[in-house]
Amino acid sequence: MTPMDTFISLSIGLTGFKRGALAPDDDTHDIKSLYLKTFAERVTQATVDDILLWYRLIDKRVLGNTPDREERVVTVLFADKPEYELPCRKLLFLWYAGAWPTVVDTPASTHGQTFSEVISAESYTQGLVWRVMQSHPMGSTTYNYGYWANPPPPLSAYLENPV
Amino acid sequence: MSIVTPTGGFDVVIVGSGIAGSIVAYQIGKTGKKVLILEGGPPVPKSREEYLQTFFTSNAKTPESPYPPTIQGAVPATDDNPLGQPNPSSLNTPRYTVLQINAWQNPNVSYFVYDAPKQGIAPDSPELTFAFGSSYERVAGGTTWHWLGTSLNNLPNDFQLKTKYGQGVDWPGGVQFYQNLVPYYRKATEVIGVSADKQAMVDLYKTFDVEPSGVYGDNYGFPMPAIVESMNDVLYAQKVTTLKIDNIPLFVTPTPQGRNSRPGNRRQCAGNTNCIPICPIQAKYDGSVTLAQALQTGNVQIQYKTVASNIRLSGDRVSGIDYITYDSQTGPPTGTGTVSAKLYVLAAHAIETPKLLLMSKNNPGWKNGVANSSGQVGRNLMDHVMYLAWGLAKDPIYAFRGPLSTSGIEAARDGAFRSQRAAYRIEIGNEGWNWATNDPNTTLSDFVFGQNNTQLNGDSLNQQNQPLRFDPTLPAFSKLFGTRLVNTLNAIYVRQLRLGYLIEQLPDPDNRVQLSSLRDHLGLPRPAVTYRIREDYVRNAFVSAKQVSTQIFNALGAKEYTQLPGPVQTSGDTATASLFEYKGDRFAFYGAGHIIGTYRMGSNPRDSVLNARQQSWDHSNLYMVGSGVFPSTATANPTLTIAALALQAADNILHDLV
Repeated sequence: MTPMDTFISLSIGLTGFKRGALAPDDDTHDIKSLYLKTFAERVTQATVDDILLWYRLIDKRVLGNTPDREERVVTVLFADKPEYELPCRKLLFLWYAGAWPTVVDTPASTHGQTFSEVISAESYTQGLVWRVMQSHPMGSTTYNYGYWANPPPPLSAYLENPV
Repeated sequence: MSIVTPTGGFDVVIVGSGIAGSIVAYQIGKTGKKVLILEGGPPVPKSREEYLQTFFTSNAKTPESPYPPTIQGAVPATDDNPLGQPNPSSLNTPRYTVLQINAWQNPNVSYFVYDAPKQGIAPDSPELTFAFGSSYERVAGGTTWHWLGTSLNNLPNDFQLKTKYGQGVDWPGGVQFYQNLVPYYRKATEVIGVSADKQAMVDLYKTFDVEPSGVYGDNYGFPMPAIVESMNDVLYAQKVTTLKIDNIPLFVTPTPQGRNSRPGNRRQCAGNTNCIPICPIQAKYDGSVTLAQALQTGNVQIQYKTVASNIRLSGDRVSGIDYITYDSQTGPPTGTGTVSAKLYVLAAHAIETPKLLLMSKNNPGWKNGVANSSGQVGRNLMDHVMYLAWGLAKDPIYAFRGPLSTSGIEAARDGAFRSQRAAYRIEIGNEGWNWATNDPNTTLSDFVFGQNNTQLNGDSLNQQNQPLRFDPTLPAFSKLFGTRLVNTLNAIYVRQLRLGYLIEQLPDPDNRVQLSSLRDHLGLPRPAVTYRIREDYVRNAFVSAKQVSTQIFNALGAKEYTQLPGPVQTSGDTATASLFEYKGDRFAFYGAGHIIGTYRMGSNPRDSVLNARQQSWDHSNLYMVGSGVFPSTATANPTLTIAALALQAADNILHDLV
C-alpha cells in the first residue's frame, strides 16, 4: 500500500464517503494530493507518517471485509492512539470544508469554537459538506434552472460519485 | 484615459456608476446629451471569474468578500485581527463591511468612525448606540453586485406614513407621489428584467386595497415569468394560512426577482444559491448591465479610480466637481482635476454622497456644506433592521438550493397596527442556516469537534423550553465521524429553515453621517456615524417578529433554534454592536443592506435636502439619486424604487436641459 492508498482508506473511515468519491479513477481535481500535502504541512510529516503506519498496523488486525471496515479501523486507531484523534478530526474537517481548522476552547459553554482557513478555490468547491447536504457549493452549481423545486438524487449518489 | 471634453462641454456629470447613476447616464446619453461619470472604484473586470475566485478563497464569505479593495488577508493576521483586515486609512477607496461591525470601536479596522458609547446606559435605553448594520461597494456597477434581486414595489401607504398612521414622515405629496411613480415602477421592472407572477402581485395588492391598475398600470406584463418556488416555499405556503398577524391572515407570495427565469439578455438562473455575494453567471441583474448600455450610446464617458472630492459653487449653482485619481489602492494620488457640466448628479449611495456634500464646505456662504441649508445632509440614516429566526423542519425541505430567497410573507407590510408598531415583510430564506449560524461550517464543527455553537449537540433548550439536541440517542457534545457523521449532518442540513423580518425604521435626525477627523489614504475624511434604534414603534416590531416566528415554526411542525443573543455590553472597547433589550427580552438586529435616507426629499426646504423632483432645494442644477433620497424606509427592498426614482429623475433632468 502506498501512503496515498492508506491516506484514502483513513479518509474513507473518517468522512463516511466512498472511495469513488474521494479518489475516483479519473480524478481531474486530484484534491486528495492537495489534502495529503496540506495535512503534512499542518501537523508535520512525521505525524502523518506515524498515523498512516498505525492505520496499516491496525488494518491488519481488523477482521472482515465489511463496508464499514475503514470506520472500524478508525475506531481502533482513536482508542489505541488518542493523541492522533484531533489531527485526524482536522483532516476530516478539511475534506468536508476544504479549509484547515483552528479549534479554540472558548467559549466553554459550547465546548469551544472553530475557525478555518480556505486552502484554495478548488478545495472550497470540492468540499464534501455540499455533497452531504445533497446540494452544490454555494456559487458553483452544475444543476439547471428550476432544480430546486424537486428533491435531489438520493444521498447515496453523493457519497459514491466523484466529487 | 484622460477625459475628452466634447464640443460644447458635458451636459451632465454623474458621481457614481451603480444602478442609479448608470440609469440616469443611459437615459440621458441615449438622447444624444453628453455625460461624464466619475467612478471612485475600478472598472468592471473583463471576467467576473476574477471576483469569483476572490470569493471562493475568502475565509468569511461576506457580501463584500469578492470585491476590491481586498478586505481579508490584506495584512498579516494577528490575534486581534484574525482575518487580516486592512486599516481603512491605508486605502484610497475604503468602505464599510459587515466584518467591521463587531470591530466598530476600533478605527484601525472599521471605516466608519463611532464615538465610544456613553457610560452607564441601560441595555434597554433608547439612547444606546450601535454599529450600522449594512455595507456597500465602491466599484463600477456599485452595490447591486451583491444585492439579492428582490424587486418589490412599495405600497401606497408607505408614502403617507404620517398622514395615515401619525408615524415618521410622508414622502412629498403623500399617496400622489406613489401615483406619479407607478409608470416608473413599470419601466424599472423592464430595466432590471424582473421575473414575476403578475396575478400573485395583483392578489397581494388587493389585500392592501390597491386596484390592479394602480400597481403597474393597465396591460402590464412582467418581462419574464416567475422564478420557480423552492420546496421550502411550498411548505410555508401550505402551513401559514392558519395564522394571522394583528388579525391579518398570512399567505406566501412568490417574490418578483431581478434574475432571469428564461435565457435572454442574461443567462437563465441556475440556482447557485449565491446571489449575495456574487452571482457567478450574471443571471441576476447588476448595475454593470445598465452601465454597459450607457457606454454603448457613445455619449457617456466614464473615468475609473476617480474620487470626487469637492463640489464647487458659483453663486447658487454648481460650477464644477473636483476629483482625485489613483492607480493602486494603497498608492499615492496620481492627479487632480475639475470637471464642469450644465447639470450635476450625485449617485454615490447614502454614505459617500452626504460625505461629499459635507466635505464641500469652502464655498462662500455654504460653510455647512453644499445643498445643506436645511442642515439635513447626512441625517436620517436608516436601514431595514432585521430580525432573524431559524429552525429545523420536520421533514426534508432541501435547503441550500435555488436562489437565496424566492418567496416572502408580505401580509404584514401594512395595516392598522402601523399606528403602534413598524411594518415588516418576512423573507423566506432558501440558504438554510448560512446567514443565521454561518453554516455549513458551524454545524460541521459542532459534530466533528464536539462543540455546540448551533445548539444541536448539547443540552440547550430553545426559548420555548424544548430540548434542542438533534439526536437524543447521542450524548451531549458528541464527536462523530464516518457514517454516523454523514447521516447526522445530512438530516440537519436538509431541514434548515430561516426567516428574515425586514422591519421599517423611522427617520431620526440624530442617526447621521458626519465627517470624522480620521482620513482615508487620499486624505479625505472618513464617515463618522451615529446610529440608534430609539422608537418603540420599531422595537415593538421585534417583539412581534419574535412571536410570529414561533407561531410559524409551530404551524410548520418545525423546531425553533433561534438563539437568544447576548448579553448586551453597553460601554467600553467590547461594547456590543447590535444587541439591545426591550420589554424584558433581548434582541440582535442585522442589517438588510439597505442604506437609506441621508439626503431626503421633502415638501419643505427647511427640513429636506431635495424636492420631489430629486433636485437640490439650494442648487437648481444639482440632483441626487439612490436610496438616500427616501424620506422613510418603506416596506419593500429598495432597489426597484431606486431604479424607478432614477428613471423619474432622468426625465426631470432632461426637462431641465431642454
